[in-house]
Amino acid sequence: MFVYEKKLQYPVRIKNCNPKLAAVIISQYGGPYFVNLLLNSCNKSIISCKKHRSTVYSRKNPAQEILRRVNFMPLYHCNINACKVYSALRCINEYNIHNSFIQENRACKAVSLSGFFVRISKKYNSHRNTQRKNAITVRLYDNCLFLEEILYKMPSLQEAFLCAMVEMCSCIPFA
Amino acid sequence: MNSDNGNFRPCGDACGTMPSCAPLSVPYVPFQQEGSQKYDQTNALANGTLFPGLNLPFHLKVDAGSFPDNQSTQLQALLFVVTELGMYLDTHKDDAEAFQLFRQYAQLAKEGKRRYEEMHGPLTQLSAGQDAAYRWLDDPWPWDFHQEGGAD
Repeated sequence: MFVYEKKLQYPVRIKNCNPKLAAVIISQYGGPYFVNLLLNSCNKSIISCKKHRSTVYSRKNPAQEILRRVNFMPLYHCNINACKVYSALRCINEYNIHNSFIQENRACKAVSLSGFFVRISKKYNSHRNTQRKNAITVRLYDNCLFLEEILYKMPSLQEAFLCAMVEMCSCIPFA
Repeated sequence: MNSDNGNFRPCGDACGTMPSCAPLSVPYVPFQQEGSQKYDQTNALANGTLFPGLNLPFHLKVDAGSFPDNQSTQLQALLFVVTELGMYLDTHKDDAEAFQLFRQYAQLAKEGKRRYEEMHGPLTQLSAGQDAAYRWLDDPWPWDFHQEGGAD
């Protein structure tokens, strides 16, 4: 249903390394858990569609219109945000990290999904003034690699999510 | 890319119509009129909307000229117009002029994708099947930063 394309909807241009900015952008994903990310963006989209119902009220099946918008928008935005995070952290290479080390971690998939956004930003904040800063930043970078992997797989997650949404949306009243 | 196709347009370009009769206690937003003015593709991408009438003044001013002029951005601009026109047509399916424009841009985007894939490798895993070797895993990925260009 949804197909991953090796491109962004909008150019990402972050020129300077900025792990703090990366942490802020990560907070834009919408929640502490990855599932919340999907739920939140869908909820927001439903609310905005309800507000704009005069643009869809004449359609034969407004639920379809809502579902379509709910499912496209978060994907675009998540992909762009993830690339911003990644761009803001790309200078980590200069922190004397072995390229092979990063490659190894790129392949490592054994990271728990739950709580992962909160965990990395909290750890980064609490330790940012300590000597462990570099180590924490590397962890953030690793997680971003992992994040990209999730986004790559997200279309199929969204598809599964859609089925649940159909049930929910069928009971939304329309004027 | 202005348009004046003789549609009856009671309001200015930045305004829309409202239903004459509507259920009580339900808020409405104005309905965009047919034949609205449109940006060209580069300005549409830079402004985040195809329609000047929907470009509200609380955004940060973006300079369209500051985009890197490369194939990637050009393709992004074309596909953005297709997305925008598609969303417009979803609510204005009888706007023949917009549909004509949609057809033109869809054709341009298709051609643009083909040329992009020749230069930079497959955009989708499906199109990776047309190459002699499996190039889907080749860099760069969208998140690989290139100087001045984002993903190039």
